[in-house]
Amino acid sequence: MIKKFLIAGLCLTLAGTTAFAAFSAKTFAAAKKRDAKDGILVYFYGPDWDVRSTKMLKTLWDNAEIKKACGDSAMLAIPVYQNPNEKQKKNAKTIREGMKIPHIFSYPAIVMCNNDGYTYYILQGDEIFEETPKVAETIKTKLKLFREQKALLKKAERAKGLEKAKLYGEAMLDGINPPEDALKILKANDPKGELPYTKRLEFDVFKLITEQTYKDPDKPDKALITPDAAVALVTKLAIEDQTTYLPWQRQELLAAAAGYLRRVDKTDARIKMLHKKILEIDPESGWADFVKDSEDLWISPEKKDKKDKRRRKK
Amino acid sequence: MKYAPKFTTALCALFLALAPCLPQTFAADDARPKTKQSAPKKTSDKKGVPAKKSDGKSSGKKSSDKKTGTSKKSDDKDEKKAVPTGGEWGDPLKLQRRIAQNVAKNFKTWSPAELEKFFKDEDNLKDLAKWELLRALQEDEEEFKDFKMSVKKSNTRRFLGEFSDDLEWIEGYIYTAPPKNANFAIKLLRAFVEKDEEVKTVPVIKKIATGVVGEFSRRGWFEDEFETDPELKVKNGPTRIYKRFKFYAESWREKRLNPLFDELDFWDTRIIVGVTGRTNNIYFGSEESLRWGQDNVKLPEAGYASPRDIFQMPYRLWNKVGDSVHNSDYYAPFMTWYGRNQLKRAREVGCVCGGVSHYGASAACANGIPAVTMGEPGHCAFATRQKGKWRDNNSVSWDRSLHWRLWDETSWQFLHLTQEIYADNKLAMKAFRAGTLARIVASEKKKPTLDRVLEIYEYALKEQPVNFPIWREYLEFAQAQKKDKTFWKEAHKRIIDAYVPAFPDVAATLLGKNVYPNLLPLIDNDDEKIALYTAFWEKVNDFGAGRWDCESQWEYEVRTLGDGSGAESYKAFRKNYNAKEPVAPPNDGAKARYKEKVGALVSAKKDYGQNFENWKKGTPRK
Repeated sequence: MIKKFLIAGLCLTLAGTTAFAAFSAKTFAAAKKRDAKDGILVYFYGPDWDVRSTKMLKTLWDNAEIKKACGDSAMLAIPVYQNPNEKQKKNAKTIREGMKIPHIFSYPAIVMCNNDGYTYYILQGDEIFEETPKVAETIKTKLKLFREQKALLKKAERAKGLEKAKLYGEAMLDGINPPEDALKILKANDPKGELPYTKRLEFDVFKLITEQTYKDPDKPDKALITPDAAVALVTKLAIEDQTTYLPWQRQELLAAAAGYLRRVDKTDARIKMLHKKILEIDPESGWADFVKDSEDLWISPEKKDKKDKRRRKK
Repeated sequence: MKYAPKFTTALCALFLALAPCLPQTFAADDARPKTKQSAPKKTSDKKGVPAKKSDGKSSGKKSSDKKTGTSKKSDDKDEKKAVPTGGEWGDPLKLQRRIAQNVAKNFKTWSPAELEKFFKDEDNLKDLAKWELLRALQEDEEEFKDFKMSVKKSNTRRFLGEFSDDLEWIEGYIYTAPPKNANFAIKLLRAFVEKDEEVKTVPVIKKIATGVVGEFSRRGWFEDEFETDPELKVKNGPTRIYKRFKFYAESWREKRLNPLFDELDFWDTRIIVGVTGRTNNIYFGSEESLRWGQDNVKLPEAGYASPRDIFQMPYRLWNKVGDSVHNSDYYAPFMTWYGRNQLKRAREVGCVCGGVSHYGASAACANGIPAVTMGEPGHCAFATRQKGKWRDNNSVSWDRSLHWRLWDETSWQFLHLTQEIYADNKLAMKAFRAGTLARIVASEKKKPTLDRVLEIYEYALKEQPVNFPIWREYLEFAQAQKKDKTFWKEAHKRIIDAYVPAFPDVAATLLGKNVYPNLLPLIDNDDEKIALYTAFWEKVNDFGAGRWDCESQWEYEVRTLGDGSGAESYKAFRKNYNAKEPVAPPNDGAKARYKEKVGALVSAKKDYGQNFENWKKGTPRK
């Protein structure tokens, strides 16, 4: 009878631990050795200085839902001490040995990386303090993107030239970091820039528009483009061409051009046109707020005054 | 039933088997760190000044201070005792007179033994603190009238009774920074107590409340600085200040702050809870911003001192749409986007030196780590404290002007000095209490003698020789008494002994502002003046707590000699050496002798030798 009971118990235990394929590794080297299908997920926490992250080691990192979300990855926890003793220093060093630690802005953090240690996403800050199901969902989403990226890169291994560049470009998925060496591969395989991906990766609103639209007192001879030229440029880059740049990149370009027009002549009717385009791309984005503030401040300030008066009366 | 024991054993085995198999690091349960790591209470000066012995209670904290844990359950409360009615506060002036009379009764000969005995009695200490509070309340006549009206209410008197009966609390307010605008502070503190009982009972909450009211009143932040409507500004003022208190109290209760916060004293709690709310229309210290900082810029103590860790934002002179950081348009179109969350706005929109430094300092303070911003020529830097030492970050120059300071002096060494003074809180309190006693005696119509007052100040300085505010007050009192040359020469020697080699800048400041303007007019011989200066430079080894404006000191000293010297030059304490194009100092007889003698002393000193040569040539400093 007892034997049966124990066997049943053992089965239950085993069932509990094997329900998810994610496994806990004790060190980064051990995690790497396992060559897990979904890479390595590393939880960073502060055992002697951050109560929340230490508690979350159990409530989040050891949560069944999170483990399930981690798919076939190796899970590892790395303590970051504030005031470690020699033993803790040695222990932490052993755990992280061989890992290139990315720039973590805030603890706790889950660093998601491939088996070579390349970070494709860091889950930290507001995102990690969401409810557990939401954090699990984020992990799942990022993992899904990582798998997609991995599959595309695998295909790219066999491809050459533009085809390789295309696969690399497609692997630059919105929501995770671009593949390691993406720019180098893209430039080597698409030297003429026939595909949009190099431009997307190198996107810099300053280089494209802003630098030509502000006065730098240290460079009095710097030539600025005319407002007409700015409008023509942004029309070409962000209005007529809707495929080269990502939506948020187009919004930035439009905002930079609108900002320039506003500095030159607040009454220029084209400002509203550019603002409208920004809203059309994504009316819920931060750049939509930028449009609202710009209009309130400079384009139709009288409306803002009325709103303020109403607010005070309330 | 014969299987029952075996069944229980099996069940236990099953539970054990089902327990998650975690690595040790995963298994931590009570996350509140057990270590008592904190800023050392007494630091040894790296330049050779030995650390004074501390008895382990040197912070002046009660043992309950050291506890951590949740305050919701009030496990950290002081012992209950009879609540004082505060009746004596009904007539503040009468109370003040009574205290002064009581104090006088303790002394016959004013011997050190009598002083020792007096300071051992806690009731005497409470009397001193009450008197000091009353003195501060009278700094503004109108405000004192308002205070006298307020004590007509019994609940105000009761509050004052409780506040002044808690020695650590009242001293934590009056001796950890100059108690400016005391009436405003007391009103606020009473309001906080009414809203949150634990202000009185939980030491950390008490420090937070006292720090908030102390800093907001000291710095003159009376109104809601985030409100642009003048009426709402006045109306919301205290509400917003309460919000700051609530923010930190809740953060501590929710264990969002670094455990180092639990170990802070009243003075350094002030730095954190008094973090500037708004600078030039930018809201780094709004509650939204600080809260975001807790969730998104949470780093270990060393992280805020590390440029690599804290530089989390693009450094941009022009924002993405081309507006310059030097005008308000830089952030203006991003107000709705980020609301009052300036930390997030800085991280995403960008900033320059000022933003980087306020970002680092505000984020550190949001998480319970002391940090201050400071100006440098054409730049803004910041400093955070790591393991009891202040470390600069985002700094381009040693020439700094602290934005947070207690005694008006803004140079870098004064931050280290403040740390040094309060690191041994017990000694600091002894010195401040003696300072109050000196003030009481000085205020009496029938003073024992004026020298008695000076002797009490000297007693205070014997307790804590580096106590800058007591030194300054002592010297100002001596100046008013027109003390003789012997006195000032002795003071000169004692200041050097107290501060050199650790804090040469502090010594030079006291000498230049308070001693030389009184002593030099009493000397008619340039060589005697030179001897004073060489006595200082002889003892100086290196820069001590940090590079200081030694060139301006030489400039000042040389101007007090030979042609053109006189009362005006004695009073003209050093000006920033680089403020105007430096010129080589003249070479008349006394000045040449000065350069020769001081040059001989400093030439072999690593930090000074080359700088002295450059100064002699009028070379602009780098």
